[in-house]
Amino acid sequence: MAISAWPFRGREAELALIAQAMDDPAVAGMVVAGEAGVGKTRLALEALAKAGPERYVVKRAVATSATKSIQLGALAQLLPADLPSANLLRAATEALLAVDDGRRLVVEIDDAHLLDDVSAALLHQVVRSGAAFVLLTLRSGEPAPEPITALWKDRIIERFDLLSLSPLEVEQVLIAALEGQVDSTTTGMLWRATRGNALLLRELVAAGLDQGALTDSGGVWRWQGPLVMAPRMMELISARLERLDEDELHVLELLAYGDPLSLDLLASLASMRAVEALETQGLLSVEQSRRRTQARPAHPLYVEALRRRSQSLRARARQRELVEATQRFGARRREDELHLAIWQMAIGGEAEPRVLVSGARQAWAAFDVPVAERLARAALEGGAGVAAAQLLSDLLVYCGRAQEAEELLATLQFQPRDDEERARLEMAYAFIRFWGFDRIDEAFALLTELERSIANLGWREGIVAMRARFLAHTGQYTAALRLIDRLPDMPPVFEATEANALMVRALAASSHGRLSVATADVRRARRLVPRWREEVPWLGDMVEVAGYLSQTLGGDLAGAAETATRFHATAAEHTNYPFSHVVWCTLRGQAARLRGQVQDALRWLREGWRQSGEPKALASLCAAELAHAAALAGDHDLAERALAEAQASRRASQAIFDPWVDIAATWVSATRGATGQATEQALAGARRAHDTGALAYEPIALHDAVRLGAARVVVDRLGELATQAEGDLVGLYAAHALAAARQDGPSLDQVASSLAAAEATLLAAEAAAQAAVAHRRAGRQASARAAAASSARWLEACQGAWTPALGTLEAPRLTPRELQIAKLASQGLHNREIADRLGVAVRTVDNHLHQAYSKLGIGGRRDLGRFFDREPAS
Amino acid sequence: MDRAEAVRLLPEKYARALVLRDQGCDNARIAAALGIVPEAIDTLMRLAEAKLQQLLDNPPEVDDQLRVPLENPADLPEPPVV
Repeated sequence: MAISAWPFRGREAELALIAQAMDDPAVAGMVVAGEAGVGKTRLALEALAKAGPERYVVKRAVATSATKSIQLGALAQLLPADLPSANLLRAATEALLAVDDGRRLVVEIDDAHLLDDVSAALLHQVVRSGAAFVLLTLRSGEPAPEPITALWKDRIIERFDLLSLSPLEVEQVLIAALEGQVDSTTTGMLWRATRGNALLLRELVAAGLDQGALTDSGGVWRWQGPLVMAPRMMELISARLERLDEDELHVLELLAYGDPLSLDLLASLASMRAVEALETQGLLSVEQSRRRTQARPAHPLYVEALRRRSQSLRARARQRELVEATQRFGARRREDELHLAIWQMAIGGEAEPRVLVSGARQAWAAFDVPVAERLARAALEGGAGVAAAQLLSDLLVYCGRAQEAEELLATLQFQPRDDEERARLEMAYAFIRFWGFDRIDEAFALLTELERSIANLGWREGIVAMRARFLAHTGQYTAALRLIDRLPDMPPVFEATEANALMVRALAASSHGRLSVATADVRRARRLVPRWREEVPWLGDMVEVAGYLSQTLGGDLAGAAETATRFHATAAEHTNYPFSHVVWCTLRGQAARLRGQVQDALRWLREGWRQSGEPKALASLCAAELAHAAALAGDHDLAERALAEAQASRRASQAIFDPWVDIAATWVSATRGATGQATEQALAGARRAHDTGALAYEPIALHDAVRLGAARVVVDRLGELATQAEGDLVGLYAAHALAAARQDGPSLDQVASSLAAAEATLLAAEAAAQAAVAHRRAGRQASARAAAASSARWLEACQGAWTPALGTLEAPRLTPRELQIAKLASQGLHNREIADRLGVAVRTVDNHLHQAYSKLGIGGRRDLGRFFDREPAS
Repeated sequence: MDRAEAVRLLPEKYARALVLRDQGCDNARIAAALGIVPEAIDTLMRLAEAKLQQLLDNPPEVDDQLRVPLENPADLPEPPVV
């Protein structure tokens, strides 16, 4: 697909500004300045397009370096060939301004900084005389002829600087250019790569399409793999780099290998004048980060280009400079250590394995998997020991490359010399078996064997934590909790073990229904983060997953959604670590579904499902949630397919997520119309949850039965559970069951409100629908209508979701006019005011309002507040 | 969407300009902080307000990733003495 017409987006305000100025006879012109490629010419052209030929005459010219040295060179195309050489300026001016028919003249010049002196002087005069509207584009940071500069410096006409596109604007451009949705990671990545420079963006997209990195799958465009460089982009960037002097190039090359660099360090290596010059030209940015001033290259694409241009000798020379300077300064921050490791690896030779291993851990903690892998391998080559091997092995397993991990360890053939080495090695193997191959029994056996041969307390504790983790993941919650409790009350020897233990307990406790324990543990684990973040880089995600789970199962849907959104944002930036991305896409999707936002849910879940290279650990959960959301949204094909995949890709090592698969199956059946079967599945799911100890899920499954109309069957059991459970959610489910079993309309209304307050909007709509039925059966027609209206209102926020419980709904649809008038009335406007505002008769307003009251089943204005959000009258 | 949220969706320099203006910085200081000539600041502010209004009138459905991280303006270095 070729991009023939690159869309113009994100610049509406700028265009309006110019158009307004053009229309105003008192305004003589405007200067649009900006860096190369930001889109000035396009903006000017769009502005000219607005100058209709009935009112305007448009004349346009482009100044170039070729015409710069020729008198009137740039304007030559607009002037007759036979200008007298005497009084040239005046003759040229007259010729330029010649317009026979009273229309306004618009003169547009591109790259006005390249104008020759005579043209510059001419245009200056034209502006001063007001005889035309002169629109100039100008490259910022470049010297320009004095007469042109004077125009804006002396405030004769306005100058505005066209800035790069924001991420939101880039998204708008991409959607228009690719004619489809673009996934958020891709948008973020493309923005960061180009910093919103329109030209680079266009070239990068073209290159991506060309080289197949940018593809359309299922209506969503996404970028896979690293940035690509096309010859055209290299040309653009090289042309830019060519115009830099040696010092400036030196600075950029240093930044190409060390991003960010502390300004002090940079100053010790390179010319500050050059740094300032680069900043003015927009090629470098200086930022404050926690009380340290640092420099960064402004365009990642430039970094890419610079690295490609430098032959290896030059690259090594720069990195050697950086290493020496850093060692002189002393590596102050952790990021410095990572940089140091990378540079030393690049230089080769004297790299200390310790530094490389430390760098590898950090890189992983920052989700930079390729770098982490390279550093770990370099460390191993340099003679690093078992710790490096375990790090690399774990990393490979998380990336779905368990086979490689196995082979790596086999090749290395380490002979453990002490307890630590033996523990690390065997735990690495155990993890490969458990997480990578789903061979649970072997994994547990390895740990048992290991425990027999280790005396070191710290490592024994570590093994206990790992075993507990395996137990929790395989759904053996009570065993996991018991094991964690066996760890002594004093904090374990290793902080990593402590954090691991807290995370495991939080996971197990959540699923087991002990939510306060889970919440407290997550909080403690988070507080310890700085201490264990590098030793066990993978733990960060798992702690937050545990946090999310405890929020979700505890009924804090808003909090869960917030957690998921936050971590999804971070994870999505790191496409090289798909595990994290899939986890958070899945959880974010689930969180959206639980709040009734089915389209949002589908969006996130599709994004997660499409991740290739995912180590299949979360595949089942992701597919299940996708099936569930698709079912609610009415896409039955997708729901069936996804559910089949969810069930096929179940893993014993991820049994902790199985209950969600069961729940999804229930609703796939339900929305297909097989309500009886769905109810059976829900009840079976509840039994299974109870039997396997996944106690938090039993109430959910029983509540699903209530939603499907089988309240009487489950009301007793839910009542029982409510007395034992922590938190309010199970109590609410029990109240729902009771109200439904008794067909108690008013109680169902109350349940619906409570569910809505907890942001379970779809559940609220269902409960209200059930209330409507109950009211109707009891002959309370007005209440029935009111409940139905509430249900409709909540359902509207659910982006097209539908479930059987809603099927009984006869939603009283207010007509648009009735809705509009009712809304205004609810905001406190009197009928007269409404009539005035809408331009209709007061009687009309009266009639509509009464219709609305009747449909909504209310007596008067004062009851309208129930149906409309409290907004002040605008 | 309130004003503060919408500001976060603007292109970085517009957002920073508005924040600095709210903090009472004058054109010279804003210009120095953003690396833009002082003469362009008035128009910049007009554009910033126009874009902000556009966002408030038509709030987009936005992903958190698209919000530009703003550094704390208090951290910005002092502008050079002009």
